[in-house]
Amino acid sequence: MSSVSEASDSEGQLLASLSRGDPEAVATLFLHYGPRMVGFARRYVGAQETAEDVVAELFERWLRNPPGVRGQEHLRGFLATSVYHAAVDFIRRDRAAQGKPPRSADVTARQDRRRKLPFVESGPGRPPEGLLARLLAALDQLSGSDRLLLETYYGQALSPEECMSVLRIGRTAFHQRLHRARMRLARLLSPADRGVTPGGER
Amino acid sequence: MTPPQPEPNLDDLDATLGSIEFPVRQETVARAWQITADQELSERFQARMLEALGPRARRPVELMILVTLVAKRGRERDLEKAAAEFADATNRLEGVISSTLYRTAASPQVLVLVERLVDREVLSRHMASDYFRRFQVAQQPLLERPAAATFYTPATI
Repeated sequence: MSSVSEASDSEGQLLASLSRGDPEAVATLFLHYGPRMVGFARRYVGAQETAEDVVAELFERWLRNPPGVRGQEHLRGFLATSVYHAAVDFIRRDRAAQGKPPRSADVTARQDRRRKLPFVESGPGRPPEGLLARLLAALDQLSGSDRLLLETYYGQALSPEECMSVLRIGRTAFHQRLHRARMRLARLLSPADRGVTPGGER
Repeated sequence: MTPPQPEPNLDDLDATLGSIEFPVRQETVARAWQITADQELSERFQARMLEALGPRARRPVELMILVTLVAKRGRERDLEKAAAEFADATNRLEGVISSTLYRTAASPQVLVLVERLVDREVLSRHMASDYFRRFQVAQQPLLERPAAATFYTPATI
């Protein structure tokens, strides 16, 4: 037990050193977690070279501006979240560099160009919050397994196989449950059915 | 009687959600981290980190060196004494994990020295040291043939 507690103490010290801008802490993170961070970034950006750029930029940013670690108890959780956000940010900047609008702007543009999407309605009687706020509120009403399925499908947080393994289900059940989770989410986001209690599989 | 609810259009849902960053919970991100495998780092990336962080970003590669020493007949004890002093001195060098001398009753002339060093930089300091030079001189009249050294680094699968 003492080794677990020592490891966690040492991780806490490393986080504290990182937040003070200690380059030794950044180097230690690179040496100990660099390979995992690059592997993790690859999940979201695909190519190894791009994943390395994402992680390198993150380290370089930490050297210039030490990150805030308030509320972060676990080093691995901090690293996972940091790399995830860096990867998402990289994708956003990459879209901008290619002249593509940000994803949220896409919705409005598509509405104007083609047809009104039923999940991004606005107008009299509609709540003023944006799609993301409504989505978060809808997700809060779903079960943990429904959310995981949706995070896999829409957020690429896990691969389908990893999600199946976590939920201990086979491919057929995965697709059936994913379909049902999407239906439940669609109903929650649908303006006509705001009051529906979704339930969900647990 | 309540009319049946219309079926939601999942294509529309996909189009809408495909246009935003889907919110992923921190616990899911942490779970994904746990099941992510380490990635071998390219030389380009390591060079970039070396430039940003300096020598502290150099990844240490442990070295193990097996040195076989064969004594001339009648000089076994002298060689063992000189080699044991060398191993003691090596163990005091910073960055040395261990330096241990072995022998076998089956071949009293043969000594095997096993040295484990943190990285190549330690090897450079080891070979540039006074005790190393002294042992090079001391061992010559005691050896049946030149010492044989084999270098090993950790195997990676």
